Amino acid sequence: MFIVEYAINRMKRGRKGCIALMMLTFSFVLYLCILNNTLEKKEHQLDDIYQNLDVECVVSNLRGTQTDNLYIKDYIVSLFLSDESTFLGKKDVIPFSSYVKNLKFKLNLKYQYLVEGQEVFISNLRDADDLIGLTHLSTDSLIAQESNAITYFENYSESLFLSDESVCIVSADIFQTLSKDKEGNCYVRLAVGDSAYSEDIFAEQRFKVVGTYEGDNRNIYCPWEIIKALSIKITGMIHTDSLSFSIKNNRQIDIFKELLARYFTNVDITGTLTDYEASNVLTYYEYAITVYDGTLNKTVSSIKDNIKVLEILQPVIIMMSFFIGFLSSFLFVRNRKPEFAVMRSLGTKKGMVFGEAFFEQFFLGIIGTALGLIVYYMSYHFEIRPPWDNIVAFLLCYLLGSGVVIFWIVNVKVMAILKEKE
Amino acid sequence: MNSLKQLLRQPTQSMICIIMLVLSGTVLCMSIGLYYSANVTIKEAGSVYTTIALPTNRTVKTQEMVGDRVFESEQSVITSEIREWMNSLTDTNPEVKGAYQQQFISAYSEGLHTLVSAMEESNYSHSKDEPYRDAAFVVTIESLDHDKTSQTVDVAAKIKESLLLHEGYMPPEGSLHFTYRYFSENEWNDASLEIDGTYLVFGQNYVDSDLALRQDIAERFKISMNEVDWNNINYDIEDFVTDLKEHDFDIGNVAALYEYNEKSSTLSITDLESIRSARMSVQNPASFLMGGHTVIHSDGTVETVAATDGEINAVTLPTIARLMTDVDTFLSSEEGKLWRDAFKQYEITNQSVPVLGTDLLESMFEFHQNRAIITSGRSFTKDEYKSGNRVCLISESLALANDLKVGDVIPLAFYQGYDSYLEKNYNPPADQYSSVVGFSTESESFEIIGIYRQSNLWADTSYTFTPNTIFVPNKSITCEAYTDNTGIFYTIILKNGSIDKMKTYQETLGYQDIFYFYDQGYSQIEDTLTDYLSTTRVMLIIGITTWIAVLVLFHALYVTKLKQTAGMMLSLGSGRKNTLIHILTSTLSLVIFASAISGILGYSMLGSIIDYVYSNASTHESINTTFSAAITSDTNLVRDLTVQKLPQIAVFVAVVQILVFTFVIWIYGHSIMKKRPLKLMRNKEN
Repeated sequence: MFIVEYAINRMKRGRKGCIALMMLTFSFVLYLCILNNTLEKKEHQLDDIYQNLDVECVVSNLRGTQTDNLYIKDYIVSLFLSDESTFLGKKDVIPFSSYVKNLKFKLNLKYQYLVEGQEVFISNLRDADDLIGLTHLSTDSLIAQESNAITYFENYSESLFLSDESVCIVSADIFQTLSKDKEGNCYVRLAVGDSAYSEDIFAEQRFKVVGTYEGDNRNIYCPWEIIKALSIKITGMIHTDSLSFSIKNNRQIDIFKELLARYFTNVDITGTLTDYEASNVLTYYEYAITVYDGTLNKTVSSIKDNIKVLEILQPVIIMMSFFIGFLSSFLFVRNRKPEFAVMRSLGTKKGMVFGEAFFEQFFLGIIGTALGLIVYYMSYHFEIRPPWDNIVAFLLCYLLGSGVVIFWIVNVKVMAILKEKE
Repeated sequence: MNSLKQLLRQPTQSMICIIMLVLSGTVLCMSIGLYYSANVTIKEAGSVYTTIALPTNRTVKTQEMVGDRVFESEQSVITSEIREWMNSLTDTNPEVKGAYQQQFISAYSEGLHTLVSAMEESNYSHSKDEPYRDAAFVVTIESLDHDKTSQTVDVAAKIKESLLLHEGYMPPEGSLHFTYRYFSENEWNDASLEIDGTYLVFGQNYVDSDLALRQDIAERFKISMNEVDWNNINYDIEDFVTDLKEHDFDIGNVAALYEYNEKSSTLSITDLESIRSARMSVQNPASFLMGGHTVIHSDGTVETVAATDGEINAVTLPTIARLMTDVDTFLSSEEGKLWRDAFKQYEITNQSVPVLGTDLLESMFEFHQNRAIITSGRSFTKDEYKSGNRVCLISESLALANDLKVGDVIPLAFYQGYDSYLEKNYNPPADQYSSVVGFSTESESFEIIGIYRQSNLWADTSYTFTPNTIFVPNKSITCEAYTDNTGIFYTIILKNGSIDKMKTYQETLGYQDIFYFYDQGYSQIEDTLTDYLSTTRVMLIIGITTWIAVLVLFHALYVTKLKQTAGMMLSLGSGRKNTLIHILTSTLSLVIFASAISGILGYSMLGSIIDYVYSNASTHESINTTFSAAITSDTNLVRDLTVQKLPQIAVFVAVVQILVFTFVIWIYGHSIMKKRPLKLMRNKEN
């Protein structure tokens, strides 16, 4: 009790010093918390960049000069649509399709208008017009140019191409020639065929027209899911004329590139065929792929290096903080040497002197630490938990500093202290 | 000296104070260094992105009354008022970093093998092959179909010799079909076309009909063009026709069937005529001028102005000449002079390419959106743009066709064609060379610094360019060149993150949808980059706070103790000035010494860590470049580490520390000089 009472009176008399010491512990504890917080936040921010930045991959011909009209075969398309994938007879633990997102497909089939009662048939498949199914307007060079000039009806927008609704958009000039029903809706009934597969097999499809684009082109654009279904009906397989996608988890780019190497080859302007050793069916790779990860690499490389600098500096700064804690308490207590000498000369035991001095330092340290933690909590609500180990270590160093000097002072002869000429 | 001796009499205390000041100064130095480094990093990361705004290419149909005549045309939605607004944006809108205009000029490069779409599988389209579609043959006429009304003759001829045909086309093995248009009876009589006659024919708009049909069939069956074999044609179409009739469909123009793998596709009579043949048109462009120019005045009246001899001569081309001798004799005769001149012009044209001058290659849409990427070498540097160095980028296809690589040099002589006019603001073809106009510059050597690839060769969309296109810095084009405010010729660069502001701005002016905006994905990470910097800023502030805390503690534990010493000195008659000097000297000597060490320590620690980290970064870490788009010197960031390390920070911290301490101690010293010595000597704490 005496220790506590004395310590409190002592602190009241030396307010400035005590406040300064508390401020020091407060600021260093807060600094340690913020330092840890900064590093973890930067890692999270780097994760955000990896997550938010799209790395696009585009399938092309072997020379890398064509990304449309490729007629990409079923074995490639099914990789991206199937929930399972196998390679060399082994099923992948993580299917290929789980590595990708934002798939962009486009497929051209041929169509001919049908009237009521007309047989589903296309007389001249070769000269028939194009029914183009796509997931995104950007996959078709003609409609992509016109993207600002597309008028969508009712509640439709570009997202219609990602649906499985039987809707379509036609050119404005063609739309003028189509008849509307009582509700003002316009429908077209089409015979659809695939000239690459057969000139005899056709499917029928009815579309509701939900938009127009400027011009007089005869292309009709519909959602990818519809054309996919039509392709399966006609050919039994799914093809695509163009294919691009983004990587779902950019942290796994390297792993994914290994998977890509199973099915695609690098672009080679000379068009040299590359042996497809892993395939029992194909002699050469049929398609090349390009991964546009340059921007991601440039963005993250500098940030990664900056984080690494902080990671290396962090323990250095922490060690310095420990030293400062040690030295500040050492210096603070050392200044009270004459006081301890007087206390001892008046009969106070060494243990009591040590206890009082140490309690005072402990008290100041704890208050400063608590204040630092309170401010950190108010600012960040412990979203990233404080580095308790570093805080405890700082406190220990601080207490060690004062402990060492107090121990030294109480063991030096009183007369020697009192005689010092300082 | 006494003040310094005083320090030495308290070595432990002095040493502890120095160490504390050194450590706190070092922590401050590193905190500032880290903040600055983060700033540079964010700027570096942000500089990877370019935000562009491209003017729309949309057009509207307009009608204009001129007198009592109505003229219909398609006009760009960008009116002259909008054009003026666009030109003023750099000065009036802070979000706009700059407007970049590309220039177009044609260039002759002796010995260069230019490209035509026929050289690219499944990409042949004759309209993309200008200006290389002129051709000259020696032919024997097999049939004539003369239409006097339209003054045209459709001719089918057997090719005996191919004199002038772009090397990208294979000379047809079969027939050449050409339409000869004449403008006067004299012209018709001079041609004296007869079956079995041998003629020298010069024509334009050459079309490789065989190639076009092969491509069409390959497209239908989704096979390679090499697999198309004319032996697979079945002329027995009886069953097919019967089937069509059963379905009540018109047999149309079906003449045969092409069969492949149990599938078949129809061929028309025109298709059959296309096999192993080519076609072109033959007419003298000067004939259009024979009747004079038609001028429409503002009041709607029409006047015909006679063309000058110069104008007529400038566009005169040979058409068809009957050969009574061998072709070499004819060409070397006086009669063959026009032909010789035309051949020379077109030989130059066939070795000429379109050149686009730019001040920022990456601002062009195709490069910006990675549809064109540099696969070898590098892009232009700022200095090269500024100085107009003679460097260039060529396409991978052009490099392959000419066995060129980075570091090679090609000659370019710029020119403009006679009365040249660009139909579209994209895919500009080289002008046809005119000896009347000649070259605008001497032939100059341009070093190839980079090779680019296009993901869709011969694409025909709003911002594309042909693979013959060579890029140079704008200032290296030292003659008059064409430019425009739309298409590939104009880009506005915006500050990253300002698309929304720009959209709002143009909407408030009523100019919606004038620009298309692209930012390479910057908006996806903009917030993260901002947060990154603000996180480091907080750390800096707390770092400064800790430094202040140490300063306060130092003042409380050391400086205030000098109060007693000051009291003693004053009571012994030292004088206020000397006492103040003593206080300053004994504290500042510690501070200066500690500040110098902390500055050096802080800089060397931060500097060596940055050196270590970044030197490892540049030699390292397999960035896995498998399948990667751009694997060139541009990929690896060359960082200026001095910018990151910034030695000035250390100096700054040391100076600030000294100044702050000096100020504080000066103020404190003055405050205690005002007190009585006895009061100073009283020590409340003891």
